[in-house]
Amino acid sequence: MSTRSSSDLTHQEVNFSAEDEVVLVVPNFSLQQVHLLGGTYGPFRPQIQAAVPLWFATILKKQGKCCIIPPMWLNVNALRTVIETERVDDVFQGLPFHYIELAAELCKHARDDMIDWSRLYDLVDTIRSVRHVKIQSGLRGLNADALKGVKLRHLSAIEVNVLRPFMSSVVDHFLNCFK
Amino acid sequence: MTQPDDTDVAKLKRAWMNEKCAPEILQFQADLVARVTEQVEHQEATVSSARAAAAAAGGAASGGLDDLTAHIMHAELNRVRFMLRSYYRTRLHKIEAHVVHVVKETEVYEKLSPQEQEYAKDYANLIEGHFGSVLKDLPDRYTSMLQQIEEEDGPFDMVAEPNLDKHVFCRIKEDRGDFLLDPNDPDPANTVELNKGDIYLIRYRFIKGLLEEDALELI
Repeated sequence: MSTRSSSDLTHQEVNFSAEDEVVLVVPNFSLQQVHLLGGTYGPFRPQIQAAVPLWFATILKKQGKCCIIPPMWLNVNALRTVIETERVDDVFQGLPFHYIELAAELCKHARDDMIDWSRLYDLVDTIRSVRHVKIQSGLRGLNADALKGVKLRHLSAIEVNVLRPFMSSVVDHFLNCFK
Repeated sequence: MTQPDDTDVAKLKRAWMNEKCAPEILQFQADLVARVTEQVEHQEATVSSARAAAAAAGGAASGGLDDLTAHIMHAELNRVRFMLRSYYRTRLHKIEAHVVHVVKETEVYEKLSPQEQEYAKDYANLIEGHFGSVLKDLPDRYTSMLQQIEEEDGPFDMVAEPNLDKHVFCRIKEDRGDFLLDPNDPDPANTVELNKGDIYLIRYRFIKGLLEEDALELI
């Protein structure tokens, strides 16, 4: 593993980036529109769904002001299907770019809004490890074509960041051998 | 679903991520940074005047913003200020790492903001003075900071430069069909098909142009 320098993207920064993903909340309060630099949200009415960024939803949730509706893909059946196809299919399944961070964040702050959150957490973890094994076997198959670019469709943000220090330096060294 | 991506804050986030992931220093986003800084100052004034009004009214909700709105605005401001700071620091880090290269190459030097240019020059002078205090005691032709052996027309072979052959992860933003990787090597075998949404691990030199055209983003 290469050492990290201060300019490298950290996992915390990837997490920070994921907090801009939009989720649906059901507020229990009334509030007019909130004009933020990154967009306008609301108005908020009790029991009426509203879309807000995750960091916004987390603030509301911590104050007991809303329920967070888990995204469509974050349910037991959908995740099971993903695991099954992920195991038999060579390509990566299309999950949201920030699926790991979203699932972790929701399981931490909004577990009472989810049915069986610990099961969901485990399923996402299984997907993550199945994909990790696939990534590793993919690395074994790298050849000179890698110098023309390696296509990694549907790889997620955290997966990229985990892979980055190792994979980019491997291909860098590879290139040096051909120079 | 994501936040709207046409706001200045969203553009700053892109600029920050690209700067974080690119091996070389990119063009300073002067207009964008100026706009975001102004918006942040304006929003700060809104939040603090709302809080002052609430305090004057003895904690009761006043005519302006309520507590929750002010709290959320404050949280967003912290996020934006963090991105701005990190953007500046990433750039300073790159300037320091390749300071001689940055000051020497006009094309690179012009990518900096006036403040960064001043910083780069001062930093280069400091480094020169610092190294010079040791180098002056070395034998005659070995006292240069830029050359291993001093020669009149010799190449500057001790100047640290960014490695443009470094491999980076990027996500394609628009369909480009078959893209020729190396214009100096127009062999049809040397093309890759770039489709929107694809993620590639690829040599930075190949996609430098596409990054400048905003046809892809670094991740």
